[in-house]
Amino acid sequence: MTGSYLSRSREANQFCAEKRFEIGTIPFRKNIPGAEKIMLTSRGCWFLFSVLVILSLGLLRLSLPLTLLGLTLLLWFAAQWLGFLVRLPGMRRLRVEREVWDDRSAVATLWAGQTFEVRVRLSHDGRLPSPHVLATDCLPFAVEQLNGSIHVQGIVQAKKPLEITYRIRCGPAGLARFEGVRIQSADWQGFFYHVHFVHAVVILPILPALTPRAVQPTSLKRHNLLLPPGIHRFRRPGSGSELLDLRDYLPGDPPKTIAWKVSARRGRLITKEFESEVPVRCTLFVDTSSSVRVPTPAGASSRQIRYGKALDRLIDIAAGVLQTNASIRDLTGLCLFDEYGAQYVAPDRGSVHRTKCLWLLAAVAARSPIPSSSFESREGGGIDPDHLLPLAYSFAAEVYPELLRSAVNSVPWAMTWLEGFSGYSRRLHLGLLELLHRRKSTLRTLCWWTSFWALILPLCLLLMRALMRTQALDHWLLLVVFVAPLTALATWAGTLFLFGVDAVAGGGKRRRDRWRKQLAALLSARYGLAPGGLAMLLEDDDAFSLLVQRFLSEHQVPYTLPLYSPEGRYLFAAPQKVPVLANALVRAVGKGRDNELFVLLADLLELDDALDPLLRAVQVALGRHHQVVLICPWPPGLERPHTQGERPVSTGRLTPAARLDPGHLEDQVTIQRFHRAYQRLRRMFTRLGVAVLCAAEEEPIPLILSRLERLRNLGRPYS
Amino acid sequence: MTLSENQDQRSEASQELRSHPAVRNYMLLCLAALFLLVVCLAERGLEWWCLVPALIGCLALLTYWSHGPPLVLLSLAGLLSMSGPRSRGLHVGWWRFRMPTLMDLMLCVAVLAYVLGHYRLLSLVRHIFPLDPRRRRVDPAQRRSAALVTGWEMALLGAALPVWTGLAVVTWVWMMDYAPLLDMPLELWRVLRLVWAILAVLAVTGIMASYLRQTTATPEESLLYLQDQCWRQTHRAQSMFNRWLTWARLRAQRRTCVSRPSLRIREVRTRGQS
Repeated sequence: MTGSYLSRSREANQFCAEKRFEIGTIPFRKNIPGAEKIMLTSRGCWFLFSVLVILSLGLLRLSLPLTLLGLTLLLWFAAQWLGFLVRLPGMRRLRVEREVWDDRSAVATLWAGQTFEVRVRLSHDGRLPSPHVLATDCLPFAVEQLNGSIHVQGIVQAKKPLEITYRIRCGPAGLARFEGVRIQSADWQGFFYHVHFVHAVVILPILPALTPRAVQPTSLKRHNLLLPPGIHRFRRPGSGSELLDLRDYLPGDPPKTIAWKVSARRGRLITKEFESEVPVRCTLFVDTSSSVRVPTPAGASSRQIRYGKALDRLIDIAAGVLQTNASIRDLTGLCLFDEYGAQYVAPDRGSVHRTKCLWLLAAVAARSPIPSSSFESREGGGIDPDHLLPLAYSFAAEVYPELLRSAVNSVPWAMTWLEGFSGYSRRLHLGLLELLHRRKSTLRTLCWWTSFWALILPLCLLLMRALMRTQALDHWLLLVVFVAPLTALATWAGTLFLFGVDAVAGGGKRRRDRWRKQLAALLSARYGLAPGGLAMLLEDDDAFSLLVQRFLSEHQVPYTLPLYSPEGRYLFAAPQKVPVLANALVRAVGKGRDNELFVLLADLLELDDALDPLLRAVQVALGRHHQVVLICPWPPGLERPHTQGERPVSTGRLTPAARLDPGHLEDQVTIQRFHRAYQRLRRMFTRLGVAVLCAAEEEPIPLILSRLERLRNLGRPYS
Repeated sequence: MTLSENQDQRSEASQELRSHPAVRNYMLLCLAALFLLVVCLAERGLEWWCLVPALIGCLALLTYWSHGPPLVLLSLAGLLSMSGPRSRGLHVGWWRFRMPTLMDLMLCVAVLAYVLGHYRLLSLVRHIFPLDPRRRRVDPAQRRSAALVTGWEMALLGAALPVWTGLAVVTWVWMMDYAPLLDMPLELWRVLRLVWAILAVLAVTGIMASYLRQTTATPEESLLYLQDQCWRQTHRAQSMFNRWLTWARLRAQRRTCVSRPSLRIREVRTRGQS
């Protein structure tokens, strides 16, 4: 899973659904239980069957012991059922209280890589105790369970709440969304079963980790006067305290700067010039467009798959620079940009400013990608909804079982067996079986029309013959009377045959249709499209795909998407972000002073012909004696580009069969495509004198810090 | 951790679970119930056949077989129906006016105790919630924790046995009270009365449960219900309109692509470079 990148996105979604939600390995093959309903288990079914047999035999064979025995068991069973039923409304009134603790107290903010303890309390105020319940806390995708259990079982009573305690370790920066607690209840015999989800959404931000860097610059005292933290000497005339130069006195110079001894020696008035003391500013331009937000599988544990995205590394770099600069009181600015606009935070120092920047970074890390060409592309350009359907449905079945009940979200059997949902957008790319499955209603209509005309046509001819009193139509009449029933019969037989083919081969398609209908109804109601939204989402694949992505991203469910359309177009290329970045850079240059470092953490791959505005902006910045560094984000799991003189890492000897594997070939092509794009970008910016680095390497933070150190030491005579 | 270590740990946990007092108590209850069952059947003169249900029950207890209780019940039904009054050639009236004996009541108590104990035992050692067919192994969380079994539960169980047997006798007396209508056979009349009674209870309970469910529905559920009803009534018309709308949207997109040659050139360039 780790080696593949693009071609395995569907498998990655499937893998996630399998590990987390126990969905089957083959899409649409296995049913997903979990819709909220009272279920008689197989144990209960067999017992009821045995009791009914005993009772029937007792009544029919006139056996008193059997009748009595049957009645005893039946009454007991009915009482168990009623008892279970009566206590169920209390399940819907359960309360969930959640606290997340660090080592000292409850917290409202998490930190990446840190461990916390989650305490969940399940209680209710009803008079009746609950049946036996198994409560399972829904673990967010952004965290990893360390120890403790997310399950607890027992009976919830008014004064005896159930408690769950476990420890988690936070993943990369983003949001941790605790959805609530899944409640499974059953009687002590295991005859009846009910699933309910108590929604208690708690969203906690995970701020980027602040780890001290080993390459943090040291503040050695090299001069008699140690400047305050954050202030650095600059070799231009200013109001500092260190002597820069001596020059002739000019009218208007303050008398206190006159160097009297030198003036006496030279015989004319000489004045002292002092150095400037300015802070060093660093502005980070962080790309938050969809291309860096695409999650890719980066390893799997026994319970769930771990995802990584290029943005995580960018945030790590930005947080590292922020922390290092804050420790020496340098000013750091932040500009978050995407294809729609930029958000600018002016360079500043202090813990408030740092916390604000970290919150902003955590907020953008929680956003999910949306292909820029979903609605703009031509047919087939959007994401295939079947790509995300198993994952989204299995998540909905776990978290929203009450909205998938057949009582409120039904799927009539006739609509899957006799009609099928069409899905207009994809009609041109369908195979024969898929076409047959979706156009069954057309076949049915054809049958009715053929039958109708087989009946009407002979009648019309007979009527014409009687009205016109001619025998010229007799041979036509004979022909129609003979052919029409045959045609109708053949149509019906052909239709029945095709329906039979679909019935045999369309099991997975029917299940997919059922999932899609239920999910479309849920999304339509959730996003305010009801009542007409359901039919719209069944027909329009692109709209459905977008809403599924929105649903998953709102719940922080990681999912992967194909990066390239079937036509080979990069779905996440957003050339609009280049002018946005260029404008932000020019604005920062306009507001900047001396000693500025601009760090562009931007994904500019495959945007070669759209880079002109940015190149001009970089030239402006360099012309003002600022420094610019470009850090290119790199998808995790993808082989990083080789620097000159570095030999590519061998991935092991592949068998001929593996070399011919389409997935492997596709991966290789993709990797080469990325490498070539990176080399082109590097050449383009190196010509201007801008250092280009790959974010996947360990060098970016040391490079940025060394550039900052160079700016600090710019005026020091000894450095 | 190796596979053999895993298996060792699992077998140790299983041994520990089987020796838990709660599991042992339920096991003893089932064995006692089976013994009582044998005594009751032997009193009916079934000779060696009286051992058959008990043997099946013991086997099911030893292997924690979930189909044990139904098999015990079915074997019992077979044995008792063969020894019923009709098979002995007795008159119908004999059955109608007969009152249950102590052995009849003991038989009911024994069977109920066995069924109850066996199913609760299964919940402790196998699973209480239905198994997910997609999982290969039983998750330990799916079985009821033996530590949750209290003395109060055992006491309730002991009290339930005579209560439900007594209620069954009352129901039987109620059934015997009425003469058949329309001169229909006595057996048919009893079956019909029982079936109607069961259906009436089921219908009333079902209606009340669904009414309660609707009154406690959340706004999202109510909205979903209304949307579903609307869609079921008008889905053909809605489908047609939306198909046309989607077609129009796609056509507009195609035209936009054609009318923006720069976009096309850029795409071709990117493709060519790659």
